[in-house]
Amino acid sequence: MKILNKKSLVITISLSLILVTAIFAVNSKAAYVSNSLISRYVYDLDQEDTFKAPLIYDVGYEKKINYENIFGKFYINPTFKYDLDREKESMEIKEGYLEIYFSEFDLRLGKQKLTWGKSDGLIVTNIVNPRDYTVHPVVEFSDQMQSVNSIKTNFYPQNDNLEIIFVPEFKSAKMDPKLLADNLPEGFTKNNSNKDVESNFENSELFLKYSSLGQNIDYEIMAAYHWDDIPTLHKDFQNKEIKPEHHRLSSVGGSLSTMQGPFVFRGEGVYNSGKYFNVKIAQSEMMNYPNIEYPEGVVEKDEIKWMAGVDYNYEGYLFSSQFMQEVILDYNKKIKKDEYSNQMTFLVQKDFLRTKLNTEINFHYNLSDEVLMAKPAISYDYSDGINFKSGANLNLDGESPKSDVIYFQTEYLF
Amino acid sequence: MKRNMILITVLTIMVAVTGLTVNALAEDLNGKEIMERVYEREQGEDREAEMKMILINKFGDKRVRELKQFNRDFGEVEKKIMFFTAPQDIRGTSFMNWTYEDEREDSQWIYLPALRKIKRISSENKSDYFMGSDFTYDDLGERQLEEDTHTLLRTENFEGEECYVVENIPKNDDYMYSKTIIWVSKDNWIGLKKEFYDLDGEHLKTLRVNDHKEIDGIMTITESEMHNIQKEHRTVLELDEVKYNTDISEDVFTERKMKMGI
Repeated sequence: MKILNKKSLVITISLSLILVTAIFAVNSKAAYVSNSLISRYVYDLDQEDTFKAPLIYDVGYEKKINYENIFGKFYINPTFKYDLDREKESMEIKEGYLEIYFSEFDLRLGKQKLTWGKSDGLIVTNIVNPRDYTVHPVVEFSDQMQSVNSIKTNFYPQNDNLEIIFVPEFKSAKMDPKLLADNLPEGFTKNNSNKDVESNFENSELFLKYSSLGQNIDYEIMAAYHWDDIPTLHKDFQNKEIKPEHHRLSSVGGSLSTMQGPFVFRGEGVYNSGKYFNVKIAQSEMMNYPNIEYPEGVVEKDEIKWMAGVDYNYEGYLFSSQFMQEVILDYNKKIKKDEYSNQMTFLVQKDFLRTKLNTEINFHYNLSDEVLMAKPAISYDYSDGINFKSGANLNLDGESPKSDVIYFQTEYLF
Repeated sequence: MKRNMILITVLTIMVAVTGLTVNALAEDLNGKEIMERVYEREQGEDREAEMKMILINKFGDKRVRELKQFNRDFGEVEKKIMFFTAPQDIRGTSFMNWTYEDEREDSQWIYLPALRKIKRISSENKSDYFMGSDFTYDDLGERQLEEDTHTLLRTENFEGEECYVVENIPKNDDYMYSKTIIWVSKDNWIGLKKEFYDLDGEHLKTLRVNDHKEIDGIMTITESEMHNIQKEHRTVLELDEVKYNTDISEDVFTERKMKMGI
């Protein structure tokens, strides 16, 4: 009975929203409402009895503002999700903001998602929005980005772009709890007492970016005073506890892209100061605890991340390859992570039937962990409003914490 | 009275002679000179227009893409920006192209709202079809007069208009077409029909102008149709709300505008 009520509630909210947005759309020529209904079926190939079948209703409401020489936009993107397998519903505002356009600058307030840098899928300077690592499989790129409440200002000196983002309240990356549970040292328990970052001005984040599109080269220069989205796992040996804790990072970096014939070359790099890493502590050292070098099992170091990529277009095929390296500076052999961590991606994309049929395969190879993943996907636009998509997330080599899955989905746009 | 008669007679003869001379001059034009007039036809300093692209397959099924386009010639560089407004799955996408007067390759960018990102793309592959249509990027772009050898084949009447029929053979062997043949109106220097031949010399596509009219004093093609003969599909391009010389600002062709949309 309770489930029935919940179902009724979801259906009522959904229908009400359709009605309200439709009325808004009719009454206001400047409003645009986009509706998308997705039925997805995800099958876990590793655990054959496990599947997910979410029904997703996504609404985008956009209203242009033109009031006494004030121009702007209001945008809200609520999403309702109903898991048919678990009979569980959820609702989320993916984005919701007010944007005002002035002659020399723009101001945007609210919950938003922003992308920085030139790399595709790899995180180098794209650090404004924390990731959601629980999303699996990633069907739409933006699904793995969590929106943040922020104030964004853009200035446009000589048609370039200076972007300043103030995030008053830190938001952590969403980690897979199963992953931590699997990696807890024997006899240790998790203690989240240090995990939360208190919401106050001192703990806010600031991101700056200057970008330019030029005849020969595009570039971005960025700086940020922010928190590491992923908590470091501090050890409390006395109480046998693992205490996740976020740390402040200062980052400077940049990215560029340029075209040479059929090739587009991309590069990106960042220097992160104040990053914490876990260290190995030998059993013999523990005899002297707490008078050991790293009593919490962590050490602070700086790191450099860089990426080089190339896109090549031939006969309608897009070939795209990227290499990313993370380097821990002033490396200490006790650090668990390798001094150099390398990753590579390789993508092939091709459209057929006048872009009705889209195919792609994306390989991701983590050279340090020797894990090779393949993500093939195929989608077909039956009409402008109906799309069928299928794909998979397959672990071809090494041990990935993510299971192999295959998915099918139908999307109806109206 | 007699003086007036003489004046009218002289004027009539002058008009007739001038007309004959112009006609004779026109008849004497060679292929290159004709194409020069086509390329130099008044286009205005800038133009904005709403465009509808109707993709029709061999079964007659239609898909419609709607966009708004702005372009302006800044002398050394011609800038163009397109904002896709429909259908829903491509709404918010924008495409910007800068074409240079010298031999530099075009600069091109695309803004993908799903990725929230502007990507520089290669302009080298001009033979790629634009958004699934039958128009390649090259068909929609500006070709230079000197890139082809132009030969006047004949003059003939095409759908009631006297036309020059000119064959254009590319000087570069790597070009996607082995030749094109164009029917140029003697009246207004508009190419009313153009045939495209593939590298095997086979007839590939035909472009026809379905409608043209004068807007803001400039002869404008408002509807054209590209028919792929080999694959039996067509693309109709309709222009509406065309405005010339509205002094489009350079601010329109920027990162800000690509993300902001229209």
